[in-house]
Amino acid sequence: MKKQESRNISAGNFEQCTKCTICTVYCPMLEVNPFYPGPKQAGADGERYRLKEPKYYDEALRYCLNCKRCEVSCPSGVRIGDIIALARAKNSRGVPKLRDVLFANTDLVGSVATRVAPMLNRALESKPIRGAMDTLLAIDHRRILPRYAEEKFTTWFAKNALAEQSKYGRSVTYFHGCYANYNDPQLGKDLVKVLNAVGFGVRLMEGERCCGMTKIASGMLSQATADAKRNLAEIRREVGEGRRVIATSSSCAFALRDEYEHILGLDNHDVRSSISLATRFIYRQMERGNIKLAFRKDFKMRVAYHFACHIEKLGWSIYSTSLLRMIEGLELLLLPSQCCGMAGTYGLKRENYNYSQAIGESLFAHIESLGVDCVATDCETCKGQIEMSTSVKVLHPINILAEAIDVEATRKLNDLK
Amino acid sequence: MRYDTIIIGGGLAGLVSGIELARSGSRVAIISSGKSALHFCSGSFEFWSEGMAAVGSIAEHNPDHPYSKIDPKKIARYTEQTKDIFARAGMPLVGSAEANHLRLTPLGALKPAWLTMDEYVTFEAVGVSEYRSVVIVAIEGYLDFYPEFIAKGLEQMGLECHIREISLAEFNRLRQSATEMRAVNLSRTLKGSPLREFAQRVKALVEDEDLVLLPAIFGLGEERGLQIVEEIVGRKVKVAATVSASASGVRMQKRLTDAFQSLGGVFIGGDRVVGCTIDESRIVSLNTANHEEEEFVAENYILATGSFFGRGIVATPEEVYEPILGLDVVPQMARKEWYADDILDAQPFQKFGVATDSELHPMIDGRVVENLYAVGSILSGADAVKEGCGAGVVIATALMVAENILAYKHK
Repeated sequence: MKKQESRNISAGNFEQCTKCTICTVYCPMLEVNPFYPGPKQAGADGERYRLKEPKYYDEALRYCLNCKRCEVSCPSGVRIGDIIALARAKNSRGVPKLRDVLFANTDLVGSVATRVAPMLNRALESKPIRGAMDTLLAIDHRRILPRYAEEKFTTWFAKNALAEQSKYGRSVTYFHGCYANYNDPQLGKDLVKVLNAVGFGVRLMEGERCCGMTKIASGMLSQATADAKRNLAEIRREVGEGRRVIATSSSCAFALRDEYEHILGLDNHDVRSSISLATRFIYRQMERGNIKLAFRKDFKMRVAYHFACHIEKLGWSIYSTSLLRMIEGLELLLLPSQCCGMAGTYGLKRENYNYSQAIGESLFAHIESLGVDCVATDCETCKGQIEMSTSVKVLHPINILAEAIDVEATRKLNDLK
Repeated sequence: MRYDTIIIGGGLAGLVSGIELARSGSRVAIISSGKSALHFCSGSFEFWSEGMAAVGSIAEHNPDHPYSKIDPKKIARYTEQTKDIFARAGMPLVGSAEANHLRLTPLGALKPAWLTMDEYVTFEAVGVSEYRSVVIVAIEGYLDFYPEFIAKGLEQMGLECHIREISLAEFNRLRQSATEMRAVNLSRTLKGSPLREFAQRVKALVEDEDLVLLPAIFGLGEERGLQIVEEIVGRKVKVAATVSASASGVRMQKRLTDAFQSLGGVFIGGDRVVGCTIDESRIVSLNTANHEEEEFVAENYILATGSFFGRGIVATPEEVYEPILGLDVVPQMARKEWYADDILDAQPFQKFGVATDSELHPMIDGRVVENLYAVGSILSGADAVKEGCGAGVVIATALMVAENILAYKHK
C-alpha cells in the first residue's frame, strides 16, 4: 500500500487571485452594505496597492465580519479574510474605543461580571441603562446582551466534578472558552455529563485564557498574541501527556487552530491536529467504536441546524449534524448556510446593528417558518443573535445530546459502573 | 467516513454525477474546494458548435476527444436526462439532441447552443425569429450589460430594436460602490416591492414591441422574479446574458447543490483533498485538509476537479500536472508548444488534461486506477473554446460515469 501526499497545497497568497469575483457573491456584508468594498477589492486587489503604499488602506475594511465565507468560496485558495484582517491590524488608524476594549477582554470582563451577575443582568435589561450604554459606549440599545452566570463553570467544576474525573480510564481536556465559563456554564456541565457517561474524564487547563478571537477582531493583536502564547503552552502540556483538547465553541476552535498561525504568526503545527471540537471528538470516538450512546426512549425534538461561519470554515458541521442524526426521536432540518449577522462582538456595536440585522433577516424568517422546537448551532454568538431576533430558542448540539441520552444505559453500554 | 461514491469537485460535473447517483439511492459525498466555474454560466450549454448532426462522426476525426468514448446513440437520452435534472431543480432548459439553437452572448454575437435556460432569448436559426421588434432595457449605472451590442446582434435576426433605460432607487443604493453593481447584487435586490416597482417601470417603457429583453438579473432575491415581471408587463419577457458573475450561474450552483443534498448527498465545501492511499491499482481512502486523519472511504471515486480554473490541472513554468493524485496528464510537450502565437487560433493548452481509458479511468504511470473515474473539463482532448463543447463534455461524461457505476453495482 502506498501513502502519497498530494501536490495540492495552495500558497494561499493574494497573487493566486484570478479576479473571478466568486467571493463577492458569498460576502454577507456586501449584500447589505454598499460602502463595503467587498472581499475582492478589500482583499487581493487592495493588497497590491497597500504593499506599494500603505496610504491606499481603506478604513471601510472595518466592515469586514471576519466570517471567512469568502475563503470557503474561493476556487483559488486565496486566504482573503486573513489578508483583510491583517491589513486592518496593520493599517487601521482608529484607536480602539473603551467599548472595543471591553468587548475584546471577554475573560477579564467576564470574571468581574459573574461576581455581580444578578445585579448586572437586571441592569443590562433596564431601558435607561441600555440607553446610557448606547450614548456613552456606542453599544446599541436594541441589542440584548448575553446574561452572566452567577457561578462560573470553572467554579462549579472544581466544586462538583473535579474529584471524580480521575476515576475514568480515559481523559480529554476541555477548552471551555469565555462563553461557557461566564455566560452559559450549563454547556460545560452538559459536556461533562456526556463525556463522563461514555467513560471519559474531563480536565480543564488552569492557565486557560480567552482564545483571542474578539481581540483579533478588534485589531488588538499584541494582547491576542499574549493570550495565544499562554494557551499554546497549556495545550502543549496536555497534548504532551496524550490528551486532545476540545472546545464547544467553533470560533474558539478556529482561533486556536488557524487564526493563531495565520493572523498572529504563531507556530502551532505541533498541536493543531490535537485541537478539536466537542461534537467532532464524540463522533469520531463513536465511529471507531470506542464509545457508545444510549438514548432516552421518550425523547422527541424537531431541530434546525444553523451553520455558523467558523464551523463552515473549519469544515466540521458534518460532525455536529451526523451526531444529531444519531439521536433517536430527533428530526433534523438543515438551514441554508448563511451568516446570522452577529459575527462575535461585531453586531453589538451601534454602528453595525442595522447591517447585522439586515444580514440575518432572511435566516430569521426562515427559522420562524419551520415550526421547530429549537435551533442547534456550535457558535455562542449566533445563539445570542438568533434568540434575540426570532422566537426560537437555540441550543448547542452538546446541550441536546445531554438531554437525549439515557445516562444509566449509556454508562452500562460503556462498561461503567 | 464511508460512502458508495466520493466525488472530488463540486461544479457542474460533480453535481450532475452526484445527483444521478444519489437519485438511485447511492450514498454519495462531494468534496469541493471553493466554488466553481458555474458562476460564469451564460445560461446556455454547448455540445458541439458545428452542429448536433456531426456528433456521430466526432470520434472518427478526433480519436482523442472525450466524445470518442461516448456512444453517440446515448446523446438523445443524456439530453433528456439533463433537462430532467434541471427541471427538477427548478430551472427548466430548452433545446434538443437533434439540432443546435442560437443564443445571444453578452457582446451580441449569436452562437450555437445545445441547451439553454428557458428564460433566456433563443432563436431556432439565423433569420428565424418569432419576434418582430424588441425593447432592450438598460439599467442606469449598470456596466455589465451592453444594449448597443445586443441590438446589433438582434438586428441580424431582422428584429427592430429599441433601447430604453430605467433607474430604480434600490439600484442607486448599490451604485454607491461602483465596482459592486453586479448582476448578483441587482438580482438580490429584485424581490418584494422593488421587484414590482421595477416591473411597473419596464411596463411603462414598452410601446408596441412584442419582446422585452432584460439583463439576466433575476432569480436570487425572488425565485420567480422573471415570471412576476412578465405577469406585470403583460408581454413576452426574456433575458440576455450579462458579464459574470452570472446571477443564473449562482442560482444554478445553489439549486443543483440543494437538489443533491435533498437526495441525501453530503456536500463538503471549502476543503481540499491533500492525500490518498492507493493499493495496487485502487484508491483505498482520501484525506482532506479540514478533516486531517479522518479517512474518506468509498467503493468508487470520481474526479471532477475541472481544468486550469478549477485547479484540476495546474501549470507551472516547467510542467502541467494533476495535483491531487498525480495522474498522467497528456499531451506532454515543450512549453513553447503550449501556445499558438495568434490568440484567436486554437490553443494547444486547451486540450491538456488527464489521460483515460475507454471507461474514463485515469492512469498513474500508465497504469489504470480501477475505481477512479475522471469527468468534465479535466479530461484531455477537448478544446471547449474552439469546438464549443465545454458543457457537453462535462454533462455527457458525468452521466456516462454515473450510469456505469450504477450498472456495475446492479450486476
